[in-house]
Amino acid sequence: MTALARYHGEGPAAPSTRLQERLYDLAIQVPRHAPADLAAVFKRIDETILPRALTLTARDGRSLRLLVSNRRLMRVETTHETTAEDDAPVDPEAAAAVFARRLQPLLGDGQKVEMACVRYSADAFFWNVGCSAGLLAKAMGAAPARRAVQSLESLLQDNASARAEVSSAGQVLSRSARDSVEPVLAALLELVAGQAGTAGLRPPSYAGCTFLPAGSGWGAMIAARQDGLSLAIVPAALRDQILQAWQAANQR
Amino acid sequence: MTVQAQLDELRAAIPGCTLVAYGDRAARLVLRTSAAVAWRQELLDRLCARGAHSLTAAEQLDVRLTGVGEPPDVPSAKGCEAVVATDGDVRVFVGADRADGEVLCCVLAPGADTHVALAKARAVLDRLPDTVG
Repeated sequence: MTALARYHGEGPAAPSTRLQERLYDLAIQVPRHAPADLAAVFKRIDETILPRALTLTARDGRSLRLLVSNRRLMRVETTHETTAEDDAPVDPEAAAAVFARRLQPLLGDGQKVEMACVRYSADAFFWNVGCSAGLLAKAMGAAPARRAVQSLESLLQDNASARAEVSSAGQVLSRSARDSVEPVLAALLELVAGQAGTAGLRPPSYAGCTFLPAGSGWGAMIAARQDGLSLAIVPAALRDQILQAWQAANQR
Repeated sequence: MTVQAQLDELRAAIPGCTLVAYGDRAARLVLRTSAAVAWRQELLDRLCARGAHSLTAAEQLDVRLTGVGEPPDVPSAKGCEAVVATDGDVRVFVGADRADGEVLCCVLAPGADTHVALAKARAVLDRLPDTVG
């Protein structure tokens, strides 16, 4: 309790041992920012029993929020979330793969971030499938190959009749030079959203890579990116090639 | 043959298929499944909702893109189907012609042949309403 009292304002400005750090986090709601690398994040997950939200912030301002409980990472949220609950992982291995892919840009290649921890409501974890630090470490060990990303890119560049990049806010960021189909079919009919919620459900956002046959041998691709969506109108014959290239670029 | 038997047979007939789910497009509920590993009901319902949404989207795009011209190596494309690749699997959706009809979803291992899955799923879906009725 002495340590607790200290960090209510009576003691030194910062905790000096790991026990003191944990007591600080229990006693004080204001997050304490500390530098962290991947190993520190794994350790923190492994030591966290009660529900906590860890905020990781990179030097360039990019940020992720990790929801942790019972020594498991339950959810990784980005500031520009495009993935959705409808594609929630069904087992710990799948969860680790999804979380690793989200963490990779922030913590891959030995990068460091600022980590802060606050309490969090356990209700948010009700149906989530989480993963342990060990599984996450395993998943982080195999980052998506840069070559796989380039492979998808060149496949689209060579074959798409029209392409567009759309931000998570729905803004069209860029279109390809070969854009001949009216602004990529009005951003694929406003992402065909809002017109399908007949049962009162929120239209699912486009996690993953969706391929819709679109008549006359064409197909529409809607692929999730780190910061939005990639849209393309491509020959339907390339469906499996595109889906496999997307998976190669986005799997662990 | 019962609905369950047809779903089991379909799953066995598609290489790499781990789940076949038969659902209602309008209600967005999964009615029957055949699975290697059981899925929780809320995940099944999300799968069904995603399928219903994708099929509706495919139908809308099909109408708009007709007349754009034909790409090289044209395959025959059906409007009422959709394929979604996730981090860990490939999900194939086949829908009845009516928006208030049924949806059949197959979850496949990455790299699976979606053409085979779509064709087999379509054949089963065309038969299922008779079985149910």
